[in-house]
Amino acid sequence: MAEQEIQHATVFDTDRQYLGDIYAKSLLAVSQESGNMDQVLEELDSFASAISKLDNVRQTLESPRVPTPHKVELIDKIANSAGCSDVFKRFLKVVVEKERFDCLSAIRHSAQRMHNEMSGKLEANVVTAEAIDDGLKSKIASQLSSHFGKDVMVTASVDPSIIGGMVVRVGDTVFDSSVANELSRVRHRAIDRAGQEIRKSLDRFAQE
Amino acid sequence: MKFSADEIASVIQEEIKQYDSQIDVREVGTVLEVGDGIARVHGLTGVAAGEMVEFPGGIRGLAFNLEENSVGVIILGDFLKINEGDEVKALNQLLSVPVGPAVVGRVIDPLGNPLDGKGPISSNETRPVEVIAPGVAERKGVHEPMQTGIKAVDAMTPVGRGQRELVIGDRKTGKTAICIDAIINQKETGVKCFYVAVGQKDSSVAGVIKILEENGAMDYTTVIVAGASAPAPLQYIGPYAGTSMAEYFMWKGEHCLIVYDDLSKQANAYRELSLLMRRPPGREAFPGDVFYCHSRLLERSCKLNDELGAGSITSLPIIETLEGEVSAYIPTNVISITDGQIYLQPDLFFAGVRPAMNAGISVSRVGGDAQVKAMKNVAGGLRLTLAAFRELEAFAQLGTDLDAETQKNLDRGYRMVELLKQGQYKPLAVVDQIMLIYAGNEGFLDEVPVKNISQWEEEFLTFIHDKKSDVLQVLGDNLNDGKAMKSEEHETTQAVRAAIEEFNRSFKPH
Repeated sequence: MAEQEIQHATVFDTDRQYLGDIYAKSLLAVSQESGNMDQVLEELDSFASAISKLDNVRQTLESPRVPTPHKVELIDKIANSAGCSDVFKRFLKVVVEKERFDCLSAIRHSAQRMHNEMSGKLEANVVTAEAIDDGLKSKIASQLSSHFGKDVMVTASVDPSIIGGMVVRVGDTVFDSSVANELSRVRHRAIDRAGQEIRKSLDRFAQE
Repeated sequence: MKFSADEIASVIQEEIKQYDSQIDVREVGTVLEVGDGIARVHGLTGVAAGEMVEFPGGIRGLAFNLEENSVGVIILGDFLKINEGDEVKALNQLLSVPVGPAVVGRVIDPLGNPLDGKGPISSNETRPVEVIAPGVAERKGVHEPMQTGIKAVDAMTPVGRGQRELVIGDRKTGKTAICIDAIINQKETGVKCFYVAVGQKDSSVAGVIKILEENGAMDYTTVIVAGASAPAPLQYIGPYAGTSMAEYFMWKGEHCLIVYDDLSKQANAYRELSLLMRRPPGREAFPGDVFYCHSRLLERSCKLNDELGAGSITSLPIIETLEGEVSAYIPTNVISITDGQIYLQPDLFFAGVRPAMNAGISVSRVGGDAQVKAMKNVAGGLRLTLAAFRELEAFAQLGTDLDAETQKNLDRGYRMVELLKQGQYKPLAVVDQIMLIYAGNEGFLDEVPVKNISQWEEEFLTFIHDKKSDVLQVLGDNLNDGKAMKSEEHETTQAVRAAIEEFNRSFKPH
């Protein structure tokens, strides 16, 4: 749930998302050169989720009133104690110096997405009415992987309002085979059809 | 009336039986922000400019701005029901409206939804709202008259089928009245009429519809309403939707008349949308492409060539000026696009000259080609004569003594002005117009007191229709004879002269 909240925060701010794309691209490029992309991404991931829980630290790093040298110092301390890679430490310092720390979750989101694209992975979100077990989840993942010809990573969520069936979202495309959707389509078609039939021959349906 | 539930149930049962389940694949986005008739949407990566999208609850939208991180959508419906975070679905089709005979006689909104309570529009055909106008090779010159039934217009600024004639003037100068008369006059000509009301008060539109109904004009007219209370997107697409409906008939080889009432309001709606979409404002805060907004609309009114069926759309766009300011941005744009303008002036209107057309600056660039020959012969110099009279009149007001010749011209001018006045919703047939203008031009009214001219006109027309149907017949047969009403010896001229002289002997002013 926490992860979804972060995603929403970035999706709904296109300006930050735009900045996030730029920083993420640079971070990936640098880490690719130094050959520890996976490690850096993992660090970014854990750092961002840790920071999101520590409001005081986050606010300090985001605040324009705190002098930049102080923030850099703070970053140094955190990174050293956590034993971060050199690339990631420098990246954090640049972000702080440019006063873009508020974009961190957007950067994390973009970096994740770009890394998936680069390694030929697809993210798919599967919504079902009831929770699914890991066996079914991996079955869905392998089905989707063979359909898209890419390695699909499935995240599952539960929404009882779809009644039954499954809704799969890959990027901006939705594959909807939920019972709720089928029902509403049947409803519309029945109304349309009844309306057409009534217009065609009123006598069949009504008497004066 | 009693509905039988069993029958309806059986239809629904049949529908359920035939229903086969399919996976619904759709391209979606998420609403980031919404307000003032527009929404910004994240996602919809594959959407095309001008593509229709659907919000929850079936509200339609139009992808208007494709930006790097979001899509600007104009909402064609109630935007208050859309929330941040709602899912938006791309529909994979351009904005289209129902067209065909089913829309004739109806009052609809720009999306083709009925507003007259006469049930849904049952048409199987649709046409995209935005269509590129026919090219040069598909057209031919405007050559047939589109009679408006208004003496002043048909004589001085004739409109041809396929022409775009701008009706321009301040508020309350009778702009709509001219267009309504033109629609009423299309009765029995087979011309389909479309009245597009943009940003008008709903009460005025209701008034127009009532008048059209009373005059039997709703049988061949479609009224497309995007009133003042309609959201700006609907006001913006209204004229395009109306034109699409007219094009259906044009491509079938039929003739259409479309009235845009009015394009200033449409430009304002477009300005509103563009500013909300953060497109850069230009002169008078209109966006840079407001000229294209009107030019691409009016270019669609044209005359098709014979191979394509020779159909046509004639358009009468209306522009409202402020304090007679024709050099404002939108008026100059539309003046330059159209093939002429009918300029209506408040001072003439309040002096009782109705239609209050200023003969000096009203023009029709198609001109005589769009007139029947007989009308061209009688009305050829009328516009210049009247313009000269207006100058002379201004000079005469100085109180100087005038020579007899000048006084005579002045007197004839007064009578001509009086003769060109015309009541509302009383369009005249072209033969009647020709005889009246001929009588005025040739001095048959010189002896009639100015205040009795309308009495003369009324009684003369009654006389001709009741007693001289043979004259009407001759004139009607020779309308396209180049010499009719021009050479003294021509039988038509002689017949008309004789009829007027005969009537004048018995005419008694009161």
